[in-house]
Amino acid sequence: MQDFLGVPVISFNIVGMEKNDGFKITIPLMEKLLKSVVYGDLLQKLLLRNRPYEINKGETQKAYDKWMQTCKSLVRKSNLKEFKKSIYDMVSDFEKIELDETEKKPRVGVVGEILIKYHPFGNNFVIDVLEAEGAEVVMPDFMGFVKFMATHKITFNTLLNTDKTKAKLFKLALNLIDIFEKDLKLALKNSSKNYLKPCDIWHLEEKVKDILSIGNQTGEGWFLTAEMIEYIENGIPNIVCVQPFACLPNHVVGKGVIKTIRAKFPNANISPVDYDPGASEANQTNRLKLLMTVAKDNLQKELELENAKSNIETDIDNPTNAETTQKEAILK
Amino acid sequence: MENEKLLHVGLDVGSTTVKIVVMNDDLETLNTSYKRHFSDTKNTVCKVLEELAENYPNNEFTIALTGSGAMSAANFLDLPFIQEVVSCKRAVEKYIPKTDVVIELGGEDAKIIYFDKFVEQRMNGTCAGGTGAFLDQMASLLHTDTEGLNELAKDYKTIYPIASRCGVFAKTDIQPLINEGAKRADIAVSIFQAVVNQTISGLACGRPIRGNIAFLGGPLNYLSELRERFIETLNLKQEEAITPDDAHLLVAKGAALDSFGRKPISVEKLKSRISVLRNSHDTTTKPLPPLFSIDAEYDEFKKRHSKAKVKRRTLENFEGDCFIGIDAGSTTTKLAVIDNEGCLLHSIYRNNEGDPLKSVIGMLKDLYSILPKKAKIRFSGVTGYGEKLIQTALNVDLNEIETIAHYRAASEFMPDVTSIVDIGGQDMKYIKLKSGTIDNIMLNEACSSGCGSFIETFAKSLNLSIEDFVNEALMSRTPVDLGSRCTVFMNSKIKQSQKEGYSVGDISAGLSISVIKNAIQKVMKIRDPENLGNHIVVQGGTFYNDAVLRSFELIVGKEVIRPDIAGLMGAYGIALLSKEQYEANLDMEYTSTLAKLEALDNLDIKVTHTRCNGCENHCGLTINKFNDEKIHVSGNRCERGSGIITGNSDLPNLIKYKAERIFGYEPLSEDKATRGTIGIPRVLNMYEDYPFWFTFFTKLGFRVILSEKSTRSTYEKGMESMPSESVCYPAKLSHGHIVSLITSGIKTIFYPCMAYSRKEFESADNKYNCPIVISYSEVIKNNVEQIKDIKFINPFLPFDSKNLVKKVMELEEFSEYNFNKKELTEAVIEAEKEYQKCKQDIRDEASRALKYMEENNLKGIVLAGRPYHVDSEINHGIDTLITGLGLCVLTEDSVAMNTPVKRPLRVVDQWVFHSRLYSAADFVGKHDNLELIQLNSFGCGVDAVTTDQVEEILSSYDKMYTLIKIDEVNNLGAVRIRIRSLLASINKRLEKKKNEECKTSSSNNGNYEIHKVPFTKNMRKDYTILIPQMAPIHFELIESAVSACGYNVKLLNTCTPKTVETGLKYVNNDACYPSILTTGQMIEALQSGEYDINKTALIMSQTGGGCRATNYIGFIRKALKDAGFPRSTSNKFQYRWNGKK
Repeated sequence: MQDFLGVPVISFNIVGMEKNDGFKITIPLMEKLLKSVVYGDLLQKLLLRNRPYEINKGETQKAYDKWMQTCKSLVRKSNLKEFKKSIYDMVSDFEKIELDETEKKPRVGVVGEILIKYHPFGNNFVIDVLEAEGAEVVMPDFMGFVKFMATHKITFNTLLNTDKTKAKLFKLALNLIDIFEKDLKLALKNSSKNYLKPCDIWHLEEKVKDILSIGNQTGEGWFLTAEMIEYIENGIPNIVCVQPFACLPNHVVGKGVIKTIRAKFPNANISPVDYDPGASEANQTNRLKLLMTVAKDNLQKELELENAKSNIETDIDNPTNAETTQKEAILK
Repeated sequence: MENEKLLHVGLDVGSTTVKIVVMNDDLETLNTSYKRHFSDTKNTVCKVLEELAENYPNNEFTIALTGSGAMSAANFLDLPFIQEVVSCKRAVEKYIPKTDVVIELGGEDAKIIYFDKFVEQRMNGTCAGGTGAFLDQMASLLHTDTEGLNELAKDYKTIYPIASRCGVFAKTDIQPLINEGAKRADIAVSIFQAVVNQTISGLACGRPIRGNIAFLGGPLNYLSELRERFIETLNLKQEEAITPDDAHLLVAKGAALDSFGRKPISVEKLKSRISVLRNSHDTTTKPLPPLFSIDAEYDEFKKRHSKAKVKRRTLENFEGDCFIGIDAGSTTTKLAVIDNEGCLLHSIYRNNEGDPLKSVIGMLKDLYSILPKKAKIRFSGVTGYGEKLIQTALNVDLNEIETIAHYRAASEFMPDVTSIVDIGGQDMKYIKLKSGTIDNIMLNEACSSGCGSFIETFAKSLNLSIEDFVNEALMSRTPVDLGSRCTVFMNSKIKQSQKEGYSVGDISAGLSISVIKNAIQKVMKIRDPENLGNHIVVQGGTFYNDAVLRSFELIVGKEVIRPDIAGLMGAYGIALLSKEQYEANLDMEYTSTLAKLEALDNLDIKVTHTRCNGCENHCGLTINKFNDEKIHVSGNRCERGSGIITGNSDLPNLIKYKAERIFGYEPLSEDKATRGTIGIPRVLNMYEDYPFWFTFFTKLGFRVILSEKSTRSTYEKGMESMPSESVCYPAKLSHGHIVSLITSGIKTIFYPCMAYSRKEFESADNKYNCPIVISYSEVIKNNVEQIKDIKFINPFLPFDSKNLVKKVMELEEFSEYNFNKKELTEAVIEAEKEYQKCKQDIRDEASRALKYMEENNLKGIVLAGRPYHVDSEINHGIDTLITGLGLCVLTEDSVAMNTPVKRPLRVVDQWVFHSRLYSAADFVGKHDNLELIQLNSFGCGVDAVTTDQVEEILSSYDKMYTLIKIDEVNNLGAVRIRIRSLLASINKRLEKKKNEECKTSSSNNGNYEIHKVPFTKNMRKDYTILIPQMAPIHFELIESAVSACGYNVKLLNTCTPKTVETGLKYVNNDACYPSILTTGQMIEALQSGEYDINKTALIMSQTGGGCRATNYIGFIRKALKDAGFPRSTSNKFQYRWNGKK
């Protein structure tokens, strides 16, 4: 008889719950963790942006694998200078990957509950499904969530006048994160590949206030709504909102805001998809396929509209539908 | 004509049918066909396409596939797949362009498409799946088909409220209607109305359905009455409702249109593709191991189970005393006749055809016609749902709750039985026995309802007899995994596996396994099969199914007894109890009062329906009047409705008191309201905070208007604007409260977001509200259309007086009122005083109640839930049902302050309302005359945390834990059984305690606090810390980061269906998927044997926020406790059942 009652469970948190002598969040650990997140976010961006368009199949994955190993050793040991340099090197290394973008793919952003959105098994490999359907997938930065978490005490201090000292401490932490992300932002800005930049949490806060209060902090809270707005404003109107079946905060900040977002951004193409042990994959795939068809149609319309704008002879008031033109051509 | 040879084909593969449309280049339809596929989508598609090739041997085709069933087929055929909503849209734009909104119901999915500048397309969420299948199931309950349902619905009089959350819930509401003798026509129309409500509430989500509405899809095409329900509910003019003649082909036509311009393929090519499809096997869903791997296993199984036989004697020529047992179940009635040695003389098993009384009368008549003259009926007994009605109508001598009857019967087969598992058509029961008394009874919640009958109706829908269906299962080599959440989820998994080409046998076997998994994980909540003991009796009609029986044995890893009268056990048990009662009475001359043939013939029953006006529950009553002046009333919660006012109705009822106390305030008259009128909805946190806000605003010169008392119609008022169908009922109700305030002319509504409540327990971890209570007003703001016409004040607000004043001064929302600091401060102080007074009043009332109980030697029940559970529309009047049974009712908050909880608790104790639950449980544990029933709203994720903890506290005091899951469902039949079972267990416990007191004092003293194992500095050296996977890219780096700081860490990378199984096994199944995955990974790793358990630690993040995520650590600790069973069993168990190859 072997029971598991003697197995210690360590709580990893930054708010002082369940302290353990043997596990301490020290400054070196924090530093390494922040580096990991910055690297992770960057690798994720580089992989997802390049892979769907790469001319030489497998090239992106190869670069990714190589850099993953490098980053792992740099996380273990690197000074700030080495860390900075590696970021520029990484971006420019991926800059070399040749892309064929003659055929535009719709960009699809994923938002939702944190584990379900990142865990491939949890979301039934949503990235693979979407890419197979012809999408360029955009995943949110993990650091965004970290930043959002760091605003909690600040927000409650503003809204409810809670503890002031903690608020100040977290403001400091956010500044620190900014320092870590500074080079990432710069490197991405210099790239020609139009990567989505790391978010400015204060800017998002402002943006989201029209829709809901930043007091919504449970789960992904207002950040989930903000991520949707951020995507739409950055030319990613197609959004899959993934959540565990009956996820509580999501009733409010996910499904609960879709109506308002659609009213604000009529081109928003948002599909909420539930994940659960018993849910049918076919059902999920079917919803993703619907999202993708709409995304492709909209993209086509958009491209045509752009062409029409550049071509004055076309009647702008009557933007023709992609598939009808195509069909009319054939019917004639 | 450019190309006469070129044809355009659309193929629509739905969940029940395959439709094909062939068009020429001029868009003329040349040919159409419509076939039911009876679960064999693959071959039906092949056949339809072969016919196409035969009919047009010299043509070329452009082909597009559409429909939920076509995805996999399109892959193998290498033909384009068009999402069905898209093809529907194409067709509507072409053929019925005046359409504003399309409502399409299919066998599996419901869709709404809004045609506007931007076309908006919506599909139902998971819960609302399977409309077609739902209608089939409901029709079969009424012994008809869907067309029959439509015919019935034509002459309806009343529409009953039926839960619209999902098919399973709806069925739970319909079953009692049938039992209580509601008219079939009324039931039929109510079923249609439920579909309408579900579609609107689930898909419209606040966007109104207006203009010209096109009704598409099978059910809407051929069910005129269903359409009628939509037209009436949506207030449509007849000309606004469009039903195209070929509605069922429209989607296929859309696909055909879409195929224009795609690459044509020749007949030859098509033929070769068809053969690819025919030989294909989609393996998206991995199969489970077969039920029997070799024939010998089956033979042994057969032989073993043939031994559990009841003793029988023939009725013919029988002389002497006999006893009759009747079991009036929800769908069937059973009758057993035994002799004075317990031998079964005769039995009848019959479907009750929706009328249990009539069915019993018929059975008795049949019995009398063959009962020998010299057989003397000494005693009779009745049990089951309809026991009261039948006892009154037929003068049955004895009635007994069914759990007791079942136990009696089971002990006849196995005297030292340790566990009884009963799976009937509708319900599941698990009775746990400890040294000869009932230790615990678990009954299924609504979600697990109907699993048994689902198998049967599914077989029927395939035109198979249940025997054939079961035989197929036993032969199946590759049973399909259909999950275990509920029949709606299983149904949609079935659809998927059909598309993938699984056989009927695979599905049949898969269903058996799923039903058992559902029973074990969700009803019995068994983590370790050892807890079942070694003497298990399984019974109930569903266990006649050998595949179900085999699944049970395989999953628990034990051999069980299935009596040959598995479906008769209730009747047999009550017959035995009757015999014993007769023997105990010692009056050997007594003969049964059971109605004789003559009485049966003369029995005249008048059934009337009415509404009780005794209280705000307004129970729908069914009154049966018999010719001997006797009356039986059903549908009532309390005794008031039965016309018998007993002294009991005045028993202390804190629920009633509290509901009146919290909201019993008189608003200022209009002339005194210097600042005008402000509306407050009767919702969620207001059940806690209303005294505060009422006083606050009244002090400031507002006339405070509270929204109406919640009723079903309140819910319906808000139905159009609910964005999420899986949220809890109390939250859903709030939409209606807001609408009702606005329609009554209120121009300003105050409904703040409250992140925190006041901290009540010093040692609790935090003082959050639950995520829904915190900010549901944001959902209202973003989804209720009418909110735009008024001023809606919903800021986040603090509670403490100083900060509240400051905030109100700052916030723009309040600026127009020009409050000054002094008046605000005064108002807040006054408000807080009133809030505290209200709380104190409730506690004082509870003290009085406790004293009253003491003095009168009464028992009481703490009906523990959230503040809003005092609402009679939310609790469905369960409190009056309890007082009706002679028990007093207390609330969790009214006793919570009386006792300190032993901390630390296993869970993170961070929600104030829930901290009260733990205290209340502790209080109950210490009082012999108190029991606790926890109310839990469906969809309450937080309760996945609290229910286990409350149970742990209660069981540490050796008390039975009863959980009642409530939703919009109004069926209290099961609740009544639960409460009666609880009562039975109290009595047994007290008896036992009395006996034990002489020997030793009770050893159960409430040891429920946990001792967390710390991770010490020493452990750092040689312990391996396991990190569960969350985000593969980031966590790979994080693993390096942590290990660089001197820890041995291991990131758990594998995650397979087995991980999910492990998670489901050890985590409360109402918990969210992430917690199941995370805990599953950890336990799987510990059980793998790869890690030295004495040198392993786990790590889990805690956000500290008000969501369940903070509590994963509690789930993990529980799993660690529950997963500690012997290695060998666990391995064997997993090898067979989780080990996907």
